[in-house]
Amino acid sequence: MLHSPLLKAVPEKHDVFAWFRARYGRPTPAQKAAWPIIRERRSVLIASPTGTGKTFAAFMGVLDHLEHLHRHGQLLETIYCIYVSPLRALAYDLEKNLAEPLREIFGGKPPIRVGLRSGDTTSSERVKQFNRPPHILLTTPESLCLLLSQKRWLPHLENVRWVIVDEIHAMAENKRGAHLSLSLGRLERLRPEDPVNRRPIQRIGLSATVAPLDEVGKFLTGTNGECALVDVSTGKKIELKVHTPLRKRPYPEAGYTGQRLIRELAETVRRHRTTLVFTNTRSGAEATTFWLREVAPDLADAIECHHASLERDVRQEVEDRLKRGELRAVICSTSLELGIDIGSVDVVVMLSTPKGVSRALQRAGRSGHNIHSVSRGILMATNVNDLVEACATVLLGRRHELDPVRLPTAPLDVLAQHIVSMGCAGTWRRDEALALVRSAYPFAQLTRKDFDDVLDYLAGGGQALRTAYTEVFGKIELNDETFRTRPGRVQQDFLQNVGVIPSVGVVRVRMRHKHLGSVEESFINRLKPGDVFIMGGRACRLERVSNMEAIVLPANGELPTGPRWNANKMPLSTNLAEEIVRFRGEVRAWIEAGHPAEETWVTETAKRVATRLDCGVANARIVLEMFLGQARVSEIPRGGELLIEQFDDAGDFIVPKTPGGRQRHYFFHSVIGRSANEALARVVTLRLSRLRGGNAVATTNDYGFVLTVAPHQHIGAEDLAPLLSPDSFIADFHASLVNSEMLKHHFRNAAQIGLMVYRNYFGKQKPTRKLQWSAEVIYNVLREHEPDHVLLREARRDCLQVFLDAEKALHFLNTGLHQPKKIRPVDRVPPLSFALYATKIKEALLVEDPAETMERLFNQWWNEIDSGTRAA
Amino acid sequence: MRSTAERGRLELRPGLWLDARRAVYLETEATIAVADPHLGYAWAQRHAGNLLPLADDRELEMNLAELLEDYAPRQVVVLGDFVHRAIALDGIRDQICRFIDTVEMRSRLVLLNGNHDRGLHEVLRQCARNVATAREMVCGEYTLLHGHEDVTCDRTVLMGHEHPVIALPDGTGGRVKCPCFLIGARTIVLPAHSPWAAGSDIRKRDFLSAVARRETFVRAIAVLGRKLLPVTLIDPA
Repeated sequence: MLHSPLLKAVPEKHDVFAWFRARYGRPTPAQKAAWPIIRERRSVLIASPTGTGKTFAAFMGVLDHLEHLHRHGQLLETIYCIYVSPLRALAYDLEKNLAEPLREIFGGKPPIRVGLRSGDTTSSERVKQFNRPPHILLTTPESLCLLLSQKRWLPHLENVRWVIVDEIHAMAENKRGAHLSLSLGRLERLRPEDPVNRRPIQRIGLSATVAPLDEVGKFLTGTNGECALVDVSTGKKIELKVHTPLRKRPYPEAGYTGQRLIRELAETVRRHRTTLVFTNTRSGAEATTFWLREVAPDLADAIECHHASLERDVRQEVEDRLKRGELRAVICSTSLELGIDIGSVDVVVMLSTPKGVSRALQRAGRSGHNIHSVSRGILMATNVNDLVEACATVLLGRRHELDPVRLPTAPLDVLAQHIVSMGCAGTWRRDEALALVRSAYPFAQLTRKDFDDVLDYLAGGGQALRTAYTEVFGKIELNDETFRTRPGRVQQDFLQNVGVIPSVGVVRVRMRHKHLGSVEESFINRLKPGDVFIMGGRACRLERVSNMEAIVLPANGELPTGPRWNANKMPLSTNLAEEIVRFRGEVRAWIEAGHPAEETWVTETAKRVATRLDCGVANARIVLEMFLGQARVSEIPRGGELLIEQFDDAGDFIVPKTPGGRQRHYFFHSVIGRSANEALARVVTLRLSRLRGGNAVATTNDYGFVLTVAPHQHIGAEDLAPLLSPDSFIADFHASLVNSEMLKHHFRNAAQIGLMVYRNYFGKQKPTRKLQWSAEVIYNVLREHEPDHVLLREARRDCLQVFLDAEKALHFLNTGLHQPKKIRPVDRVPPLSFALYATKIKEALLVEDPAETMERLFNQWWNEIDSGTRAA
Repeated sequence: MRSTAERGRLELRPGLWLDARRAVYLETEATIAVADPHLGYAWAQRHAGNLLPLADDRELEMNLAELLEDYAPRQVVVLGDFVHRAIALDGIRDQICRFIDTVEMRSRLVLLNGNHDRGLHEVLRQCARNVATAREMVCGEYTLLHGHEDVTCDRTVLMGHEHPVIALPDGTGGRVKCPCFLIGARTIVLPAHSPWAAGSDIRKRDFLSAVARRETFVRAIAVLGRKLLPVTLIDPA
């Protein structure tokens, strides 16, 4: 029996877990917690920082089971496991990371095959994959949807048992996540109806720091599934601290501190082996790289820039050099926030605050990339407001108070795309499709009407139109019961246009024969030949632009002349905003109860601030002095009331002078984050125009907004109630959006995602200039004739929920309804309002360098404040 | 110069009226000229795969009916690009027929050839409508034409083709693009009659036609809803 040929044919047992023990020793906490749950075939969300063995936490059970199938000769040529990642790079990394254990476990040619599918997969590879599907498929949300849209692929997807979603926190919050959630629901539905064996697909989510965990869990499993939660996100030691180049009496915006900042950053780089720097914006990353190389020329070759607009091979090279430890510093926008393996970074520097606790922890976690090492993050504060914010971030980070994620609710453009995708694979009953869509958590509340409206839109218009014309060129064929996607060209075109990442007009930048990357078309349009801008940290001189290509030459040793490119600024998170309001209130109480004129009191209180913010005494002193200045000129805004400062601007340095003399500014201290303030400011300006006529202008930031008005628009205390009333706020907000560029911009995205306008046509990218004005014209026509169109609705929802946080603004007004509000005249711009004032005024400054003017003005006012107190 | 710009009309030269409904009225000849209606634009886009809304034609027809009512012209001349694409589609034929019928009920229609009108004759035949067409026509002291072909003539030219727009400040820090008439010494360019038309700002001067490129435009008359707003491009001094 022992020598029977039959038994010999059975492959020998390869203990996957034994291999793991031999290789890594003990499992990490994440692995220990996740393995039993995965073995029980329950869905699970694993939240744990990078470098804590999440990949093996998810994959060991899968490999073990596949090995088991293989050993019993039951391993079929079909896909068992799908791994989805938001970044192609992550999938590439994983492919390498799985190859090694498979080789070590099975030796030679492993029986378990791993395949990668992304937008880069060549057509010959695709054919190979179709003919012999891998057991484990690594892919992106877009490629997964493409597979689901092809009827012939469906049999390959019927046996999927596991879906692993990596970096789920990066997707849950946006349309890509909503798109993916529908794909997951559709995968589930492909499983053959087998009452005995039918078990739902096991979904495994991998996430970094995220909250609330159960919400993301529901996102993972959908409304029909249960999700176990494994949270070991506090397991890894993350050290956050604040550093500031600020010295005594800093001007609250960047200025000369900028130079000092770069010098101190260079010192940090010298003190560490590898430093990773986050800047929030691409232009920031470019500029920092450029200046850092200037001040540390000896390290210049080991300093690189990384962001999404750089050419892929350029980025790849930076990543590789980083992994090999050849670089001393990499400056990125946000592009290295997610988990591709970046080797051993020993410190993370965040220039300008990350605007949220979760993001700060995520970024810091990019250093010390293994479970045992400590992650170190330095928050660089470049102005006093940032300093307070950075301190609050560190405090909340230590208490692990994360910012809650917000899932988009039922984006209709994403729905439209999936309906076409579903209809490519077969005919659907409307009810059946609606039930499936609602099983995806972001679409759980989708109304029947919204669903029907999307179907009608995709069918080419309402029933009346479809009966009137033989051909309305809809994407789908629809009747009362069923729908399917029109076969032929519609389906082919659709496959070119899957995905929710909007195409912005980009121009590729070429230096001689090398493509450096791409920049927004709108940016290039503002340049003229001869202008110098920075790309990949190097100065480039624009020669000419032709055929969506900008030809540049190296401009060594020259300073950039052109404008900066778009900064997509992130709003302050609610947690942080609340902490800052609390802190302001405390300092106010200290100052009111103390003796601010006495040096000893100031010294003592600075220590108190240092303890409260957990920062150095020197930093605390800077913060305290700013608050003292604020208290002298005005008062410190606190929670429970709304302070509005009123300042009459002589505008002496503005040329030409404002006709009619002075402008009046009202500074509203509403600490609710940039996007909520923007929504609030829009409504207030609209209401003021209704009340007084004319146009008022507002400028916003995270801490409030400034309303600048003409003499006939002056407001008094009695106007505050109607201006800040929560009644009909949302209606007024919509009214304020009607002509806004922002709505047009969102409509452009919705029109592309919702397949009204194709991005790719006949396999070619359309020239975006055409794309953009056609979207603008469509927007105008729709607004006029079909204001309730599903895609306009979607654009409004998007604005409302994501970019202009009207809900948060309304909440602010509701809670503040019966709280005191006061208008306080001030004779100069108080320190806490100065940043807003500077932003507002800079646009109008023509006489001298805006930064210099602002700094001069600020110092002049400070001196007056000082001498004023001395005299008193 | 009689001006009722507030009411949407402006007499540019004796007997030459600009109307905010994107039309010109030549008083002596009792002729209305409109340019670039691009009928069937949304249908042509749909045919090419873009699912544009079909709600745009009503405005165009109402506009036309109003113009006919107000001026009771002897003829209506379309300065080219009558259709966006001459494709044999129900929807496009429908729009063509309605346009022709609206005009011919009270007046007479003349279509001048535009670069988008290739194949129009065949579609007109399918529509069973017999409409006068020409390359250009002389109307009093003016020559009317589309503008895609280079011409030299002694008269002032009324043309279309360019879809001129001008970006004006909207009062809240943004800019709004308005269609406009372009006025030069020997050339007047009409705004596109189509609500779908978009173009690049005339101040960039990247004109399509040789006729427009040769001209020095001194004024633009912007169409702001139902009002006209003259904008000086080059100071006479």
